[in-house]
Amino acid sequence: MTLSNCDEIIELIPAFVLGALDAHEAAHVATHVAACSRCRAEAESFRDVVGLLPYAAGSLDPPPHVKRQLLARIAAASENAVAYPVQQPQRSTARIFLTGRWFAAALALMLALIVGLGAATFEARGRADQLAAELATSRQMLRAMEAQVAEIRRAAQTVEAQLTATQRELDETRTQLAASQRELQEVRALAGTDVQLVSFIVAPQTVSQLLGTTKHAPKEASARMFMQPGHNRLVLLIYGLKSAEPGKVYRLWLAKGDQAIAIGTVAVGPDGVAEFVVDAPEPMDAYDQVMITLDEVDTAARPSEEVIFEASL
Amino acid sequence: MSQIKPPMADSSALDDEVLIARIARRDSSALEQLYDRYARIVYATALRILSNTELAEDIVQETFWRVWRRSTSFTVGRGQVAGWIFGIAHNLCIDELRRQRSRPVTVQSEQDEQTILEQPDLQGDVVNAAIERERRRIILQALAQIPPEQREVLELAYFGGLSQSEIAQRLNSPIGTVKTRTRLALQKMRDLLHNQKIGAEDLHD
Repeated sequence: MTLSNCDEIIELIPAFVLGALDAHEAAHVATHVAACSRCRAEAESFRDVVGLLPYAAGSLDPPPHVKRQLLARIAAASENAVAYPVQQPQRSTARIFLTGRWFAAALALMLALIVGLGAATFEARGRADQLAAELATSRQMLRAMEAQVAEIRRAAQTVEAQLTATQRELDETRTQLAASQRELQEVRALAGTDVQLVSFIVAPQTVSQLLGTTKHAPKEASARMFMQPGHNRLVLLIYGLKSAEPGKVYRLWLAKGDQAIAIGTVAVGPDGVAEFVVDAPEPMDAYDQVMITLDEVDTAARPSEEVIFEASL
Repeated sequence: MSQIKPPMADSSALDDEVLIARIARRDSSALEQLYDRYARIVYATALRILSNTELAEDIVQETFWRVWRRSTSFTVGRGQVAGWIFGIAHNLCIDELRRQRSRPVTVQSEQDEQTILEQPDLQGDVVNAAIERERRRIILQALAQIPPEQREVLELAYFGGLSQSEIAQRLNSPIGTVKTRTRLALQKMRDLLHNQKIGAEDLHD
């Protein structure tokens, strides 16, 4: 059989048999030669020349290890140990079998050996490969899930930390609120006291009496007492008195005959003012004397000698 | 060619095909014999092409490994075993050479290159060496009879691993000229071998 472009192909056949055509040209010629008997005969006619050309390079014994390695490789392959070439030279293995076409050759070798082992082995290997692939996939999924869990855990920790911080803030706010409420109550109590005080003082039935000072009283000190006939309430307003020293208190006494009753202690502010409201055990008409002493804190049984204010009722 | 009678008594071709048949039956001693017969030619050729002993050793091993693997695909009677083995080796060498050229650094030094006619003749065992010497004499004689410019393109193509366009570039010649020289060189060589009745097949029949 002769193809139409034989003349063109025949020109290329010498270079083709020498392996000196570019890849695409070589493929073109090879395809043609496979189909064309005339061109195939032309190519075959050069086979002898090409077959003798290597002799032009001379001859040289390769080192003995090359043959040893080759035979070891064959023995290893024959032992059906397929994928594990025995006593392979590291150099050859590394370079030849891992690069380019060499790698393809190694792959083809492995495939050939696998086929050689028989269908059962191949299937088993295929199944093993499949399982290995599935295992790898599962492992990947597991790793991904672990990563997600770790992330969620981290997020949860962050939220927890925020929650703790918020709780702490809330507690602080509550404490502040409680303090504020206490202060408010105190303020309210004070305001209530003030209201009571003022309404009591300005009431028409209220009478007032200036208390006399003693030698123990500061010069500018004064004290006025408000009360209502037939009532137990007593309001005391004091000015110009120093705060009591530590361990001492100003104490209000009411006396009936020679019996003095401690009514309460009077707190003096830093401005020297004291407002004191108290309900006595009996209506004020029952008492005939009032006095304010500077006492030891724990001596409420009887008044001390240090009387600051006193008055007869 | 098959009608041409061998000019000398040579039983190696028959032996080669017997060896191939034994190799196909997984007889490694047969491969060993074939190796002893042709490894030194393969090695010298690979060394000539690659100028690197380690690479050449790899080529030798890989070539005979492929012979071992592909022995069943060799068609008895179709052609010479030696040519088949050299073809495998040559392809491996060219692949390696082109792989090297695709990298930026070239391994081969041009100063190391020797021309075909300058290669030393090295000895194997006595019978084998005699056959080798005879074949070498035939090819060198044929090479000597073609014009130097044709010998040059033949050498650059076969031992240089260069394509026609690369040879044209190297020689600064038109590609048409290179193609013509290659064709003429090979045709002349073929005719010389036939006229001398020393075709390769004759050596093996």
